Parts: sequence; structure tokens; C-alpha cells
Amino acid sequence: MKKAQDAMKPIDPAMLAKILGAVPSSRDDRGQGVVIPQARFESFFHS
Amino acid sequence: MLLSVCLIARDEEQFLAGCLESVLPVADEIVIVDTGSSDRTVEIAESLGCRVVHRPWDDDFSAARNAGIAVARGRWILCMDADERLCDPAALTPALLAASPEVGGFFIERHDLVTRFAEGESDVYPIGILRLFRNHPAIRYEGIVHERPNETIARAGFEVRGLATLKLIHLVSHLPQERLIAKQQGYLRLLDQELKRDAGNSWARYYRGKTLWFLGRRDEAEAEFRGVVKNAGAPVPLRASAGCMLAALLSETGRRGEAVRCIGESLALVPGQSLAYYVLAETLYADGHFDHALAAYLRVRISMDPDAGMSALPGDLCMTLEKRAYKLGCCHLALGDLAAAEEWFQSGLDAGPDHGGCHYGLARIALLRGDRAGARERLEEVLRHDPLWTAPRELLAELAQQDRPPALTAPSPAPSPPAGPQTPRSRPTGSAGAGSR
Repeated sequence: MKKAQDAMKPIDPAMLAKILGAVPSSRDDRGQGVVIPQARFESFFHS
Repeated sequence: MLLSVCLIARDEEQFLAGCLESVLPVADEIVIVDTGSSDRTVEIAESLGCRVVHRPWDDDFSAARNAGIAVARGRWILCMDADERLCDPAALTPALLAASPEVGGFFIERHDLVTRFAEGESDVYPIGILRLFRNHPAIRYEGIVHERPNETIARAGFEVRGLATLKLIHLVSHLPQERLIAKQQGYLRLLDQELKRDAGNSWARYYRGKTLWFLGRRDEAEAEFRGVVKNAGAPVPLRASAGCMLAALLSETGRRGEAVRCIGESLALVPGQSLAYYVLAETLYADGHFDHALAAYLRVRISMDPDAGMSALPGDLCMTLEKRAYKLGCCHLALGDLAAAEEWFQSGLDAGPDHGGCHYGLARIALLRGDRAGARERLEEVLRHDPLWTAPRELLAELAQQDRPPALTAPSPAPSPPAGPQTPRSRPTGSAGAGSR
């Protein structure tokens, strides 16, 4: 139940701004282009 | 004697010679602790002039490593594993000669070369690792598994610096998945032993989390990482690293809002690290925040950059120039900015012409511009460098399928049948038929 609630929590823009500072952008952050899927994190754990 | 290279080995005939040959130009001596090989490991070591110490395996990696260090005569120790290779060894000697007396050890880069099981895509993960340190009686390995000298260096009153001009290559992908899993299961058994003796050992908890995650036991892994993050008595860099691992795990299981919060907390503990920005960038990309992902990728340290400084974070991760260029190209591609994407992919290939991802990115751009022949060429290039990667293979097959010439009409061998109701032509069978579509 807790996990399901956590999964619903979106990324907090204030937290993001705190970490990255203001990201100047006139673009739509979500983009309209082709998305190439990126790595999954398991690859950290080979050793 | 300046440098002793120390290894522990058992049944490493497949990898050992390559490792030893990579260090021979700089090692004044090589000490190998053999823990019971039944293959040609000892023969190979002796043929290359190594000193071999025989020590029965007793489920303790630190004890084996320390047995080698105890007999080493160099002023500095470089510890390696057989499946690692030292690159640019010429950078080593000047760095050691120039080291000031307060420096007890150096973080160096280890590049883990991996192939992801599901997708077959190869990748490189450069991490900071403490393998080079003074030969000093108080500096020894600790931990029966995932052994490290980090804290003994600090306790001996020395500082640790980064040496980003020195690189080890770790040939992880040369091991089949079954062996990697067996290795992790062995580690888990030892970590459980260690925790039985000392339940509060935060290093063991951290590595147990990583191992459990590797083995697919995500809930237990999450609990371990959370425990380390909250443990105020644990070393701060370890807590920060556990925070990043937790964030990566949360991100992978879709809890990206919480993942970003964990990243913020980790950065508050160790602000100069690179791992947090990497996990953040991957999380933002997965969540579709491509412009923010760009900003995060740009904060990840570049591999082998002596000016960037390496943090003391366990497993702090950076990126090769070509990998960063690939990631930035992917962000621009997702944002629909083909020109910027092309520029990044191309710059990635300037840095590393074999980077399959950058070729793949350029193939996608070619396709978007309607250049199907160019896309096919690029995809073939990807598969030359990354033959197991399924996405380009499938795309190439799809293009080949679409670009096949229309079916030829078979010449009629006999006079036209008499007029009558038309019936569908039977499907061609056999190899000729399958190929003629």
C-alpha cells in the first residue's frame, strides 16, 4: 500500500530545482522526439 | 623498490596472463596469493616471474589479500584481480614519486565493462576505487568479502587523493550470467557470516543490499540501503552511496519522486560526488524530463579528467566522453532537436569510434530524415561493435523486411486454366517460397 502511494508521487520540481538549480529552457521538458530507452540500473551490481 | 602488485587468485588461468602482462612494465614485483588453484594459475604466475604464496581458502578475502601485502617489499601496493587490466601504466610511477608524505592512498578508476543481459547492449561503468596505497603496517584490508583498505588508511593518519590518470579495465562481461550469479550468491553467504558476527557492520549491510538487488530480491535490498542511509554511525560517504543505490532501486521500480528526494539527501551528505547526478539523470530521462536530464548528465564527472577531482564515495560513478555524448544525444533526440543530437553522437564517435550507442543514435536520425540506406549502414556498424544488442538488430531486420522488393510473379508453366471461379493461390512453401516474399 505504502509502495503504491510512493509510486504515485511525482518528481517534486522544488526538489529538482534545489539539486540542479534553475534549468533554463524554452522547450517542453517532455519532448516530442524519439526516445531511445536507457540503461537499467542493475548494471552497477556486477561486482 | 617502488611498487608491488598484489593479487589473490584461484583457477584464473583464463584471465591471469593478461592481467600480469598489463602490470609488468611498472611492477617491481608481483605477489600472488594462490588460494587453491587446480588449473594452470600457479604455472602461469611463475612463468611470468611472480612470487607465489600458497594459502588455503578460508572464506576471508581480506585475510588472503593481507597475506600478500605482508610479504610485499615495494613502498606502494597496487591490488588487482585477475580479470582486471592496468591501462596507461606509464602514469603510475610519476604519481607515486610525486606523492606527498600525508598521502596514504589513491582512488583510481576502474572501468567495468558489462553487457546487459536482457537487451544485450554493452556499456562501461567507470567507478572510483581505492586500490593503490602505501605499504604501511597499519594499512590492511578489512571485511571478509568486498574487502577494502579505506578506513585503515584514515586510521593510520593518511589522506586519500584521486588519481584520475590511472585506469583499470574490469572484464565483467567476459563471465557468463550463471557464473556472475554464482559469484553473488557466494558473496551473500559471506556477507551473512560477517553480519552474524557483527550485525551493525554498515559496509556489509551496504554490499548485502547490492547483492540482493542483483539477485532480484528488491524489497530486502531496499531495506538494507534504507538502514545504511539512516545509520548516523556509518561512514558518511557510505551513507551517501547507499542513498544513491536506494534512489536507483526506487527509480527502477517506478518510484521516481522518492528517488529524487533520496538523491537530494545523498548530495547533502557528499556534495562533490558524481554518482548522484548519474542516477538523477537516468531517473529524469526515464520519467520523460529530458531537458532536466541533460542538465544532470552534464554534472556527471568525465572519466580520466584529472581536474575534476574524485570523491571518496564508494562506487562513485563517472562517464566516458563517448558515453556522456551518447546520453546527451539521446536527450536532444527525445526533445526533437536532431541537429544537436547529431552533433553529440558525432562527438561521441570522435572520442570513441567503437561506441555502438552513438552509431545507433545516428541511425535513428538518418531514419527520421528518410535516409533508409544511411540508417541501415549505421545499424550494421552498431552490430559490428555491439553484436548482442537486440534493438538495432530488430530495427535492421524491420528495415530489411520493408525494403525487400515486391514478390515476383512466377511464370505460368502451363496454359491458363479454364475459366471458372477464382480460388486463392496456395501459399508458397519451402525455402524458395519463404525467401521470395
